[in-house]
Amino acid sequence: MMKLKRIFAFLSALFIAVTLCSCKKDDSKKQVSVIVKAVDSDFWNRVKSGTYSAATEYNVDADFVGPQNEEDYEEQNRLIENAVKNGAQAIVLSAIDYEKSAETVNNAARAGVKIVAIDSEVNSQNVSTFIGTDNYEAGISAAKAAVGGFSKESNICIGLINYYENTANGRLREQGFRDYIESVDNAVIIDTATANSNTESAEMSAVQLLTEHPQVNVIVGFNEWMTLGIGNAVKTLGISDKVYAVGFDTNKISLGMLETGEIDTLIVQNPFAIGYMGLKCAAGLISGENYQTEQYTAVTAVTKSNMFDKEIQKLLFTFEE
Amino acid sequence: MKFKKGQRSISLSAITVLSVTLAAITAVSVCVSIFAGVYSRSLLRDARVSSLQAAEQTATAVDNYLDSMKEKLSLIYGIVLKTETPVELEEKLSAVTYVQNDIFSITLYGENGEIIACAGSGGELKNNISADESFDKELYEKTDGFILTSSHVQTLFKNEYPWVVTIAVKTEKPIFDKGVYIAIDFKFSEIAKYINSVGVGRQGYCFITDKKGDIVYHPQQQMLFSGIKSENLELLTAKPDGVINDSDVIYALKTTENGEWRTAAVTYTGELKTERQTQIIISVALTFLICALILLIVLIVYSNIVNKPVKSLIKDMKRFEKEADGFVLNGGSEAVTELRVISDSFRHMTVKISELMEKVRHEETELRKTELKALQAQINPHFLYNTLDSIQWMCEQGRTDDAAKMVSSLARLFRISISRGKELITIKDEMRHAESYLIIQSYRYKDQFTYSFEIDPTLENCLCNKITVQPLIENAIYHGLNRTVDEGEIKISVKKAPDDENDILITVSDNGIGMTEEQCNAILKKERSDSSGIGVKNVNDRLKIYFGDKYGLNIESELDVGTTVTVRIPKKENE
Repeated sequence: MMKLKRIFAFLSALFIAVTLCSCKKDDSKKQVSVIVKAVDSDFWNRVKSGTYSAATEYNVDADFVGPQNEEDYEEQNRLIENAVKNGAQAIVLSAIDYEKSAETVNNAARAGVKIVAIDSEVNSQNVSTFIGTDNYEAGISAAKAAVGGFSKESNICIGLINYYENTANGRLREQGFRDYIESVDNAVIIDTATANSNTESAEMSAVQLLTEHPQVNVIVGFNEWMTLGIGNAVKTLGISDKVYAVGFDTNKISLGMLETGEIDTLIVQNPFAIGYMGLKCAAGLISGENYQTEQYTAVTAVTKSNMFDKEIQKLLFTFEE
Repeated sequence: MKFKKGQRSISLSAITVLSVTLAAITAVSVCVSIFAGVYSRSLLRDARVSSLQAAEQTATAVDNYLDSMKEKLSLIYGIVLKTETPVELEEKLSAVTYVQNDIFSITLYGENGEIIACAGSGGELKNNISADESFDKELYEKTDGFILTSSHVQTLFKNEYPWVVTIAVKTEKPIFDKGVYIAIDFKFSEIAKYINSVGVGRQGYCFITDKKGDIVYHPQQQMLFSGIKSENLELLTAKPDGVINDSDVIYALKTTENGEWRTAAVTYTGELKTERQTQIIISVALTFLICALILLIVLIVYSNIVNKPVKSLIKDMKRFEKEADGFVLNGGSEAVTELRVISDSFRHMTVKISELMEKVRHEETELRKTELKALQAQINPHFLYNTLDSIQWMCEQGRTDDAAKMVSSLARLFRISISRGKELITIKDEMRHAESYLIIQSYRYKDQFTYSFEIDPTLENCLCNKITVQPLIENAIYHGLNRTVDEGEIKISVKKAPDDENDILITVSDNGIGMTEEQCNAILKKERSDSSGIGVKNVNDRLKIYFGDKYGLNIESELDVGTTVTVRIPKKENE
């Protein structure tokens, strides 16, 4: 009888416990910090919008931060440290400096924070997965677009405008571009300029390059700011018919330039998908899932003639309510 | 009752517990599976119904919205008709686009899409319009009445690329000579507000397609555009209105009344499934626990009303096995009918057995009594012959007094022996019987022994078995006294037992040769060898039969000192 009573008590306790458990659900949200290079460009706005879409869908508490300009790796490192301090379980990072953020990232990883790299990589073994454009391939795409409009006889003289030299994605794009151009007999890269990531700096560099080397008939910019600078330079110099301009990413201005002819090809990434996937993977890593080391999103070469194709419309023009 | 080793036995309660548990688990499992089936079907049915409802409601809302768009177009058409110049028209239309939030732009097109007048809430109109997505010549020419385009990017203004849907109408006559179509580009803000608010289940939503299957508005438009998400549009376009199951998605389709757009409500059954699984798991766990609790309560009650009586019955049976004598059955208050029947039967049996035992015992006693009576009735022929011989001898010698005394003693001896067939006589009579015997024997063994009586006078009237003392005296005379050495002495006493007021001790002691302990024990077990008269053993047996084991003979003896035989009987007054 005593034994029975004891089992009875035990079962009663279990019963209450199960009832309580079924009532109380785990409401704790995952904490993810998304740290990018800057927060003011169209590209990053789209990344942000993808990030927040995923945050809503996967019940993640996400914040989206970046330094004032795309060269300030120190500020970015501080943001990483802050995120770790504030209890982020995962960090989604687009690193400004491939090398100089490595240590900070390793420290964060040692503190148990999962690291997802998006857009631009960082030199750390602790990055669980990279999500973004295959930048080397994107460089090749840009090169193909740059030489595609010329006949075999013509002399292709190329000028490049690139940004902060320690950023991984810009270097990879340029590398892909250079490697492809080497295989093209009638193409040569005349000069390469480096500018800061803002329109004015890029424009100055482009104007300087185009004035110094009047023979340049192809000019290539490797991110959104470089593209706008080139577009402005071409417009200012009035050489839109003479120079074939290739740029990266889109915004309303650069799309207008594509329409009016200052820019001839845009290599368009999928920033919304990068942001979305980055946060999704961060949430997944916190839950203990594994992903392959590289997850590439597609790039599309857009010209004036295909920019209003139905599928490309969807890619180029953000849907604003 | 013990089971042999290796022979397994299961207790009644174990069988009951097992069977009840099995039954409960089976019942619960069956119930849960039926419940799960019903539950999941009803969930799916609910999901289908609510999806369809959402689709229908959205379709109605979209219809209303399209109607309002058409109304606005009609109003603007009215304005156009009342206007003199394109410039004046643009001014008027600008005002309209500022007032109407969801109108992005209003355009008056010529036959081939040339812009005659255009006003919009956006910025500056482009100088050189390379592409105009709002004007689709083929569609415009083909359509009678209201013309509705797919959703597209509006391209007329500098640095503005909003997503719009264009609704247009052909004018009855050319306006400003060339104007043929009036088109309004609507932003999605109004319809988006409604569509975004429609929830179907937890993750479900509604979206709008046109009749070709292109998406007009989707709450997750940007995800679709980025290729992160996709809808199975081919499937949806091919199907008529209604509910479609596609792997773990339910689509409900409804075409708007004018047939231009379709609304689709999407419900994820996967989400239902996981929710359902956890709910079922929880309910199963709860049900099992409840069952276990109920089972335990049942067991406790069961053990009280069934097990306990069974155990007590078993205990009673074991007790009965050990000691059937004077057995009284406990219990009898069993609440379970079967057990009560068993208990009652057992009680009946024990009573019957007790009765039978009593009967057997009684019969046996009676038999012994009969035997004894037969023995008592016998007269030792040697004794009689010897006595009569002695009397004859006395008569021949002329000792008539002695002879007469002898004869009277013999007569008394016989009279008391018979005692009208009674078994119990007073101690006084018994002593007279013993004295008669002693008198006769003392003539026969002249001067060989003396005897004396010492009787508590208060006990004279108590009862004792007849012929109790005489066999003891006979034994003392024949076996105890050593007639060759010196005169023997036989003492007979009657007194209260020193240890118990209610018992009487009668002792017969001699000073003869005495006996060893073995002889003492043997004498109580041995039947008399000459098989006539009453032996010491018979006396002992008779006392025990009459009064119980406590009573009977006790022999104390010492070699060459003498023997004392003590008779213990209960004190019984003669009424």
